[in-house]
Amino acid sequence: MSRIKVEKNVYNRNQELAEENRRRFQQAGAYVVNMISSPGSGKTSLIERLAPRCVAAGRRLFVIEGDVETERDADRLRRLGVEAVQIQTHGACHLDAAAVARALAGAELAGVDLLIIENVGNLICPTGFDLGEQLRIVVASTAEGDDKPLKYPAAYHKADVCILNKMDLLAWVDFDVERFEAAARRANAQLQLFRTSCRTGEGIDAWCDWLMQRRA
Amino acid sequence: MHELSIAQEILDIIEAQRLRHGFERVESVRLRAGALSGVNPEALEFAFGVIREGTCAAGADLRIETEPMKLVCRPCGYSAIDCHGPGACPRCGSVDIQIDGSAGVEIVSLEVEQ
Ligand SMILES: Nc1nc2c(ncn2[C@@H]2O[C@H](COP(=O)(O)OP(=O)(O)OP(=O)(O)O)[C@@H](O)[C@H]2O)c(=O)[nH]1
Ligand SMILES: [Mg+2]
Ligand SMILES: [Zn+2]
Repeated sequence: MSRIKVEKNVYNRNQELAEENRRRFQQAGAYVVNMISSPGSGKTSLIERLAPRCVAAGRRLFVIEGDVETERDADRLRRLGVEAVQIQTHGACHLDAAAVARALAGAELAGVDLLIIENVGNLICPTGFDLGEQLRIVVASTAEGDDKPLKYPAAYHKADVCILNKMDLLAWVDFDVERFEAAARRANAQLQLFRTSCRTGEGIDAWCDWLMQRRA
Repeated sequence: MHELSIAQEILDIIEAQRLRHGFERVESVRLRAGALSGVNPEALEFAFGVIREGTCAAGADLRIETEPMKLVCRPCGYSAIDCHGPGACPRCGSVDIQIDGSAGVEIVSLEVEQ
């Protein structure tokens, strides 16, 4: 019997494809965002809030929607006039770089300013897969409990931005915002934190302005 | 966690190694899972056990080492292994504590029969 040293990461292949995506995005001049959260935190709602601001600022927005089944989220955005493609993973719990490349195979990215990829609602699996994005956002909501960053540290560890959504529900849920943000910072001291409500509009301007400035 | 796709990737890497080194059979696979990888060892062993049938790794033992999570106190640098949850630094009392660990899953080595 003999031993062979391998030292290969199982995510290597995805990483190579992600770098290819990243080169394509950079050539097209598109700023690419990967949005991760548990199901129903408000990812699509946040994009719906962003869309009119992109129009007002003359920025072209393109969205990739990742869901296990249905075109529902892409349809919601199309109704607002947003260009959107839907990836249905049919069971897979995350998007990977290959799925993003396939979804964009026929798309014309030249002229797209902002490409948002809404990942499958899941706080674990998507965190392992680089899609070629420049910015990674983790969205949480006040209905989920303030201990999520402690339970799912990887999602926060690898994100650049954390949006706490559904601030309008604070009065009805046991959620300590300070405790949540301290836990998020524990996973990642560099996290840029935002608090929003897609229902009342609270915090939406601050978040969207910040994103638009990153893009500029 | 997507243990099945990780198991498939492991098999693909083993097959590439077989083409390169020309061994007959894999006896065991040493795998290192980072503290932040989210890998569930039992689920990965199960998935690997299902898909390894009929390959050169059919009888292979999967040895998974999961790295423990590390907590580092930002102000004083004190570090400790594991101990989840909120809490203060036992040395300086600060609550400014950072979670540290890798998210990677790495095949370290293979034991093979030529
Ligand atoms: N009260 C309140 N409800 C919200 C807020 N944001 C979103 N919702 C509601 O929460 C539900 C889920 O919102 P979505 O935007 O579909 O969430 P998502 O993260 O895209 O969900 P998936 O794609 O299924 O993972 C919908 O009923 C929204 O109307 C908010 O700020 N406050
Ligand atoms: Mg959605
Ligand atoms: Zn300390």
